[in-house]
Amino acid sequence: MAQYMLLLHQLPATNAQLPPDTMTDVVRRYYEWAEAMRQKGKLVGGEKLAAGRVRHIRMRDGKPLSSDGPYAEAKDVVGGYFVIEAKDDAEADAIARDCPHLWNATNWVELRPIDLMTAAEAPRAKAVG
Amino acid sequence: MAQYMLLLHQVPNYDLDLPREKMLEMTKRYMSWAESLGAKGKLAGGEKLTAGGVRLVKVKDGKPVVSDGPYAELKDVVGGYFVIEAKDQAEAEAIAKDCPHVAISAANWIEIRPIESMAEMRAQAAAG
Repeated sequence: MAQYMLLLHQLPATNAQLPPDTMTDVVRRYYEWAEAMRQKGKLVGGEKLAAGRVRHIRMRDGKPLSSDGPYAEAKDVVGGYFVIEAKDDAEADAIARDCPHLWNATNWVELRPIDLMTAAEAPRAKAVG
Repeated sequence: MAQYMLLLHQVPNYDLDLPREKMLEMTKRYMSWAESLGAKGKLAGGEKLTAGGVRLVKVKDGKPVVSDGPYAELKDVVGGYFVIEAKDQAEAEAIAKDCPHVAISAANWIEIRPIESMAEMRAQAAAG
């Protein structure tokens, strides 16, 4: 089994324009999908990210500085994520295709294999130190 | 306590040409940081994402279509993430500023995103 991250991309205004009933319906579709995935042992985690209150941290002159990140003005935002378990890329593709995030034509999913190197390298990384 | 996601942005493949010892040393810095955050009860999760192997799923004519994502050609990629616990935005920022990701390369940066508690909406959706 391997883990994959689904980054849920969307236009910033996608959910802001929805009537409350539609929003509840959309939330229900994500919720039911996540529950079904969890029961199959395929879901590791997932959260919705807030619309706005984005902050960016970068180094400036050797010091980390924070600034407001764009949200409403951004061309594309990550609205949330899921971490799933799949036996291979083909299964991960199939799961991503079935993700309710694709309920609207401007939404899209970035599917990223999770690098298990970190765990594998851990003992050696410690040994180096 | 609230949860925040730190999306670790970087230039693609900036670490590809690093010697193995340097790569291990970098990994060790992320790990030590994550371990000390975990010991303080401030870490909820985090992973490194693979360089490459990106697939994009978009809707075309009402159907999901999968394609290989560009990776090396992108200006900016997410190389990994952490989910942290912080009492407020100020604490989340302080934690992010201390993250080795920004110190390791001047081209690296962190996008801090508050996680929205969906408990209420989920309950509503489940009830409906």
